[in-house]
Amino acid sequence: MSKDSSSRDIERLFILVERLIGEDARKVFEVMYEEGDEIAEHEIIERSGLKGGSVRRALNILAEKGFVTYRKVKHPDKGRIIFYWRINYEGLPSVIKARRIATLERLKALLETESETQYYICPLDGTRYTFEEALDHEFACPRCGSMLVPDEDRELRLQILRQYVRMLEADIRGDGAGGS
Amino acid sequence: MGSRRSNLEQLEEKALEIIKSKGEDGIYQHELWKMLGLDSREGSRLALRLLKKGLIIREPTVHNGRRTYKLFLAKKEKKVIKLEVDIGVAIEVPCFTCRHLERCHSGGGSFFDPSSCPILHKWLDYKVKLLRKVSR
Repeated sequence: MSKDSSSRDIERLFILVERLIGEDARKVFEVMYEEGDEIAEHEIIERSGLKGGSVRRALNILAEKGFVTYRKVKHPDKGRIIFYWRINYEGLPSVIKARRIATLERLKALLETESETQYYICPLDGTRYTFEEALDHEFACPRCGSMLVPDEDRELRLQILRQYVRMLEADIRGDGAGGS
Repeated sequence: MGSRRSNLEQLEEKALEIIKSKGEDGIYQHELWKMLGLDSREGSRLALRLLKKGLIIREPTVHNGRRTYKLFLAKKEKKVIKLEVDIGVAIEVPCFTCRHLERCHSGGGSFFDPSSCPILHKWLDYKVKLLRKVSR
């Protein structure tokens, strides 16, 4: 049995589009998702209620990021070009996978620096200093003079990062197995 | 024979594009014949072929006092498109939806660096707070 994406993952996809590109792009993408198959540009403009320029801008960025594709057709009687747009159903899984892998790499980089560094914190304003920086200031906050204290959240931060790294790795492994 | 068949197919394709471009307004069949350079006999044969294939629908109307048909592109039965996205836990991590993801690298003095990223640190602080609340 092939499993369809849950509506929760569709919502996540919309959130991704909105945060990555913007609200207009989300609206455009939703219209295209509801249509299912290819849809003419003017149709998107009509149904989204957005201005033509905003729709075209959103479509171009969506295409550049690999979320949608288009087909150009010459209008049979007027000679102008019509664009038919369509969600890049085939390419979307690999776009998502690539972002997921990139996300994992960034988290791993952060985890590495966090686990290599012991931070010292000003108890008043919460600014973090590396051990070397703290040593330079003789463990006193350069702004207010309070004594810097070792970061007591260190273990928690590392725990959270490790957990997310594990979860992302599990999801990425699932990609390889589940993709058809 | 082969090229004749493909000519027919090309004609059908062209006809479909024209009908499609008319969208919800549809097109009078004689207008379509004219645009394709067909006489009414060839034209109605073409329409019947498209009709049989379920690619278009016809609606009887009256135009200039004459009974005729208006042609529309058949609404394809909503294809249930399988959108196979599986985003999972990644949506929680700011990097996944970050506009600077491609420009962000650790070390090498790049401006966007996960190790010193304020967004990522804010997220981590928030997670720490949540965890502290729960454990209390």
